[in-house]
Amino acid sequence: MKSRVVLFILLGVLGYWTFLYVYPYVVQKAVELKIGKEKNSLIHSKLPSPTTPDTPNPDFIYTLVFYDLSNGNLRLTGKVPDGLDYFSIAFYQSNTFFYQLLKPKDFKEGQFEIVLSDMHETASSSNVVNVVSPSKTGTIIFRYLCKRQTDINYISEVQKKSFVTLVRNDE
Amino acid sequence: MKRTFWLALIAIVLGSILGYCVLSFTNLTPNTIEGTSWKTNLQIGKPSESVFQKAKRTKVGVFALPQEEVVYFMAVEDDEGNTLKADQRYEITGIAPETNIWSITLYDDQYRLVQNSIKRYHFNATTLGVDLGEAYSFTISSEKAMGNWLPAPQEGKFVLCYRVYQPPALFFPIQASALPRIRKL
Repeated sequence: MKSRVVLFILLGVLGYWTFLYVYPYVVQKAVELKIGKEKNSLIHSKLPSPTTPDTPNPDFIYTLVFYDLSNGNLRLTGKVPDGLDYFSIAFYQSNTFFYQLLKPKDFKEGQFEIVLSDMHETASSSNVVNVVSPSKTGTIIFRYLCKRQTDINYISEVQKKSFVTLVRNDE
Repeated sequence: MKRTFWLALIAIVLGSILGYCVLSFTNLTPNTIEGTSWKTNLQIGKPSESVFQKAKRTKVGVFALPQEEVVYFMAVEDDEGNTLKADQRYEITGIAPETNIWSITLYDDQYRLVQNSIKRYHFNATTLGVDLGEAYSFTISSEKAMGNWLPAPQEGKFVLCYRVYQPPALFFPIQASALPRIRKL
């Protein structure tokens, strides 16, 4: 009887810690399902509104990519906005945890070219920034600070100049 | 044997439910700024951040950035330690930090922006018209208020989030005087 009680408590503790460990992965899946777009594609948002989930910052317009590197590396290219006070590209693992941040100073000539892979590779050109993902899947978030109403159109134009392509392993 | 299996399953489920309740109903945040009701997590992205802190952060603000880039403060209470409620009026006062990118945003208790007639969800340096180091103030209430007014929800509780992007070195260690005051009117 006593051993059963001890086992019951131990399994309860195991359940508690497993839940805390697994919860961030569940949140990631829930966010992906809520937004409902395919992997490895750019998802452009408008300024956040009361229907936007998950504590959005109303100062920012976001672009998201839910990535999956199972079939190859991801190449991200686009324009670095020059008229904004803040722009960054943040990378998150499959459990939503942050691992890298890129800002305009990391790019050259007003353009960004990033290769995201799950292993260390040498950049093919000095203009390419290599990012190594600790997990096969994850999320990339572009943050554009929108201070003025006139910034909205500008950001929209910049978003249209961003591209993401999957470079397949067999290519 | 069958009974042991079911007991084991119940124990794991109960443990998971406890985990969910602790995440949902506690305000445990690692760093409370003494003398204020603002709480923050200065461990974001650091190896010292615990499993619980990571899970809690995911629940409150998924896809956060590390402290070097932005410091997030959350308040669910006023300066007197009373829960922020929609049927009360509050005055927020502060000094604009030494960075151009900061804001105070109001969310409902589900961490969503609050629907309102003037579509105002937050204040920042631009909307308050203040420069670095200048004083500001605004009112939070569900009924329209004179001057700088940030609409609260019609009912229930709400949460404030103070974000300071690219915090200057002088911002650390964080002092109570650097944070906005939340006073019930």
